[in-house]
Amino acid sequence: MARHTGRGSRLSRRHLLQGIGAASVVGLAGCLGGDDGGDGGGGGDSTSKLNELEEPDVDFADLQEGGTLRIGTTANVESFDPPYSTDAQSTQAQVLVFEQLVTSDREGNLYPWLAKSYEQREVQDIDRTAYEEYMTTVGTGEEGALDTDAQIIVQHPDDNPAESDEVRVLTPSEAADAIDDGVFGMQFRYQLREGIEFHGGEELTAENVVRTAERYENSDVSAQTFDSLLHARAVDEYTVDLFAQVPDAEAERELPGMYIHSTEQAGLEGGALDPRQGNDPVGTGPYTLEAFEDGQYYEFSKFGNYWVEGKGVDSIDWFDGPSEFPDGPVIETIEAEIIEDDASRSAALQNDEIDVASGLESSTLDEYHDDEGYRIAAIEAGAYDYLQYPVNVEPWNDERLRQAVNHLVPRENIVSNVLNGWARPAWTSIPKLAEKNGTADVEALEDEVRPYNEYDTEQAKELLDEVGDDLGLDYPLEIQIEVNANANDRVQMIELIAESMEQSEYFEVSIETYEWNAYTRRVLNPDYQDNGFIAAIGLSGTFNPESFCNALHHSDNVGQCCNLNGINDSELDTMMDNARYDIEAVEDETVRAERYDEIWTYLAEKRYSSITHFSLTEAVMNADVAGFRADPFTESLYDFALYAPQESQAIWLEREDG
Amino acid sequence: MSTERGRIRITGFDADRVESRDPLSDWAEHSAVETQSRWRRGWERFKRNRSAMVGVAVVLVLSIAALLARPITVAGFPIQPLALAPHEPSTILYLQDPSVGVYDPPSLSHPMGIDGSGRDLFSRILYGGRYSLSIGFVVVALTASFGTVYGAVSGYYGGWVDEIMMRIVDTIYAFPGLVLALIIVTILGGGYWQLVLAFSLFGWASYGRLVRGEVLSIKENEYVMAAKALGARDWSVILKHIIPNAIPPLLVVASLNIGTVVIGVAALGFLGLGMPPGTAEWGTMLDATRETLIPGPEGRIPWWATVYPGLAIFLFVMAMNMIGDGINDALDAQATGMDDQGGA
Repeated sequence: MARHTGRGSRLSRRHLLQGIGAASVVGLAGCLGGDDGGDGGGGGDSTSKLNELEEPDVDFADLQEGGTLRIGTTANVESFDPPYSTDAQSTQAQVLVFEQLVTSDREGNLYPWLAKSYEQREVQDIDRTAYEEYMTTVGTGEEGALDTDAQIIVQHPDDNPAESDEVRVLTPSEAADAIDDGVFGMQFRYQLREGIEFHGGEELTAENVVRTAERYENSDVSAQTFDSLLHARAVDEYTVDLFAQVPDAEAERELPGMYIHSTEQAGLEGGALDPRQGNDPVGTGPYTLEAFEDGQYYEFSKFGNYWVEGKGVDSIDWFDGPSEFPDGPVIETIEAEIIEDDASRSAALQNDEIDVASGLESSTLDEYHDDEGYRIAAIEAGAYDYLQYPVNVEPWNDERLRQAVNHLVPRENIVSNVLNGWARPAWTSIPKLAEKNGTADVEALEDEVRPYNEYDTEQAKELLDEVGDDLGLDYPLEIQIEVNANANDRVQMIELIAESMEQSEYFEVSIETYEWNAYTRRVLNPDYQDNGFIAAIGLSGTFNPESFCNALHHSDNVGQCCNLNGINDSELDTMMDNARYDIEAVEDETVRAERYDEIWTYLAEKRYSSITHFSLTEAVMNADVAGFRADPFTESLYDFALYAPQESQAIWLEREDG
Repeated sequence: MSTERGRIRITGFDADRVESRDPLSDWAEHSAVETQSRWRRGWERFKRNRSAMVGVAVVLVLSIAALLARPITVAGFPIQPLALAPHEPSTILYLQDPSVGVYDPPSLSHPMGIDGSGRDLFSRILYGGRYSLSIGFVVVALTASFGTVYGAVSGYYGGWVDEIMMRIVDTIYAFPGLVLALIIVTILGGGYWQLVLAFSLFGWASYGRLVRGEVLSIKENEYVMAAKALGARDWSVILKHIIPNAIPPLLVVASLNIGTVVIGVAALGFLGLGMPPGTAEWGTMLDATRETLIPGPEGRIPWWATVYPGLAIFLFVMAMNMIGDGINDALDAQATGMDDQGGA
């Protein structure tokens, strides 16, 4: 369900979201209940159901090994090839097989994983023009397409392929030259664990990391891998360096975000790493693919030689969990049935055809919540829905008009009435998960920004009268809001906003819906901004606070995901770039957080978009499943639940045949 | 040359005797009664048909309710000031009154309950008739008119004209009507006139074929021959002599077809392809509650959200079918394709 442009890393991947609310979500979050400091993760918001959920009290002494976990997933696995798939459901299956150099807990803290340790060795205060002398010139074809097959790592910032016949670019071979001369932004060194085996028996070495990075070149996720990564270089058999192009506050998370391939599969053509192409995925992960029926089901069984089992979880130096915590996941096989219809998935769960399901309708969740035979694991995700105003079309280029409409967005009603409390109103622009890096003071930020986002019809009328007098507007204004069909909750939310706007008597609102693929094609077209429509869509952010402003507002993302209405504010662009790529922000977290605070305030004033709410990632399970806690990202929902020593997380099955 | 040549002489005819003899029949000028037209006779029979009259009553009630549901203004002038429905069909009640919840069951203040978006179902059902009913009548008016002319031309001229025109009809018949409508709505997008077009563009074919059959038999009648012999033009023969005589079976099919179109519009609405979401069209309302049909554990289905729109569709289509049957009986129309009833 969730599709689209991803980043290389599951930790930073960006997805357009077809569904809303609890359905089909990718994101990131704070935690709830338990040892989370007691605020329940709902931010003290009375509307959120998160406050009513408790995480399970787990005693690993009761753990039972073996059994088959039956999962109901929401969409087909489009591809098992990590760099050649961008949808959350494909990644959900891939992460059982493939692993990365580092892993993350649910608050975004990083832990070495395939790497035993890593360190940041050097930061140099350079910008992308520093690569000028290494760049080669390539011709440009029609519509500015570059005439080369090589991965463009850096394009000279002063060149514009649309206006010139040739541009200067840095490709992988020249990137290596630059590094030889000591020209790079950042250097990270990873020490790999020795003795990790791929499913085929090959041992993991630094060469695998280098080959994997090469396979990410010109892949479906290359644009979002090589916005940060400059080069991967093996130092010795178990040591590998990853270089960033410029100082980058997100480099530590972004650079190692590749799923490490075996040597043989690193040589496969793009998209060929898939059972439909005769290549079962081979990784270092805890499970191997046993069967896959396109569009129907897939089945995994435990890999007998999983490295954590071999070495023991105690061999991981940062592990501080209980002594009974298992060495690897304990569930023997995983059967995933692909059931796209939410109601059918719910019925399958009630008929005991599956043990756990995600992406159910919010009204159904309430019923599971009230039933003792089932449990819901949920956490605030980074997924959010937003409206974007046609800022380049009069009179919507006046920020007061946009601020007024924002006051007519009933965020509390959206969460409590449309989503039944399975979300949190977006009083600020960032969810729990991005708060760590995205603000210096959460409460101060909310105090400052929330007044802009309150449902306030009086304030809206004042603004509308003011802007109407100044511009000589004839109310009611006609405006069309567009949204994708087949996302009931989102459409209902738009109906509610439209009704709220109409009740003000300043607007006549029409709603137009489009089938998902047609809609994404429509709104990602650079000419869409000329139509003068308000576009509504869902997007998933990450631990990186940038994912809650950049994708929506940076001029680089016009015609891409997801600056739909052509916002082009150079001041804002600079602010966003400085919060991530400026050396001060890289070296001092506080500086970075303060810069983001400035951005949130600036955005509240400019009001290019209205973020309505932050969704939850949830899973509903029967009483057989013990110990399930939800990860904020849909793609790692099961991977995290099955085995995550960074949070002492493992599930097992409590049933007789299990 | 004889002057008698060329004259006809009648002999042996006694006019006086004919005038004075007893009349051969009972007919006399003073005993003549006005001939009862087929329409009047039909109406008399129709009035006696109870089920048909119940149908008429239901359709009338639904239509008047739809008309009076909310005030109608044209260009700012109110032309219908009454409001039977307590709320606008789009009004989301919880925005003003937080005590109203999503899917509240029927109560005194909301006799049909609240829908999944917090709107008053009673108001929406009443108002929804404006879409469902009017589309039915508009589509049938358009398709029946076109189909009649098409069929009449085809049947009257015969030969290769008939051959070509009927093959076109056959081609249309090769596709299920709902699938064609679905394709059109997918291409054009949802909306009132898009739906009208979707059902009209190919919906005339059944009328074309029916009228052509009628014309084939009517045109052999002597009065048609006579009209032709008197030098009437083709168009005048078709319009004055043929079409009026093909109307009775057409009426039956048309009345039944209104139901079919309403079901079709509701079906597209249920598939999410009809009117924009949130519209009070009955099928679209059903679609909005679809996910509640498989509830969670211990969950209850908010029956009012599906039953009332479904009942409205059922009542109207049933009523139209009863009217169609009534017309069929009243006009003695035969072979009218009764298998084409609404809902089929």
